[in-house]
Amino acid sequence: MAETSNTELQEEPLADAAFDVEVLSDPTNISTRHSAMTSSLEGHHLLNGPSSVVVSDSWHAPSPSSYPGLWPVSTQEEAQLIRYFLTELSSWVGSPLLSQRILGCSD
Amino acid sequence: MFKFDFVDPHRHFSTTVLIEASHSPTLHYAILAVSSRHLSLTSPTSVYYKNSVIPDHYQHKCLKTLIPALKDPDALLDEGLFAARVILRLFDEMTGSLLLYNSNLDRDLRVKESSANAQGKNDLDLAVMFCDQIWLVFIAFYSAISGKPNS
Repeated sequence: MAETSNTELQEEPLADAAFDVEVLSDPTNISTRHSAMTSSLEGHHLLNGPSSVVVSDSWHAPSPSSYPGLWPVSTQEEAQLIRYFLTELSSWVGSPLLSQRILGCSD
Repeated sequence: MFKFDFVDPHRHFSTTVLIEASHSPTLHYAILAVSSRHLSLTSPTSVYYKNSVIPDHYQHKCLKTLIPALKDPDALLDEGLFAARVILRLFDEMTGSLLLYNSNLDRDLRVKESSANAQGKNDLDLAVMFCDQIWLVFIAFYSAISGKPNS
């Protein structure tokens, strides 16, 4: 298990949010999915709640500026499906900044 | 359940592929197709449940950009194309149509992929190739049939 000295990243507004939609944790069930997202992944990240993300020292998030500024998502439906892919079909990865940057949300 | 990053410590599908999808319409629609298809099969509370129209719509849009890309020499530079092929394979498996599997389109994509790989593999190429092979093993176990390596 990685070092437990963590850095807490508070939710902060995005300078140039990719798009202006409200992205839900899951298209199917907002409230239960949100709480279900509170999970731990070895050496990567911990999601402690909707307003804070704890990143362990072993995972170094790339600079947000390295992500594309625009995501060609035209609807909230598309944003939800992309998020579903991220969380359910690929894996929930320790990249809260990616999720925040691309999907315009934080957990 | 199979996940694309199942054995990938760098989790390319959760990171690099998503970034690629931001400028690759093919990959973008492949992701939308497979997500909506999965929801249509597994999530009774979802609006997508038992709805094949939306997944098919996204798959159609994906193929509309994928097929012309095969004739484009610059497509070799589009790493998202090969990731999209792997994602569409999962879509096919979930649909049961096996539209892509062993089709001319699949073969053309593999030829392109081989050409691109001959020019040098990057991390994403390797991750996609590895995911493809893991996927075959997964299907073989899941279907209780013997795995037949693709050539």
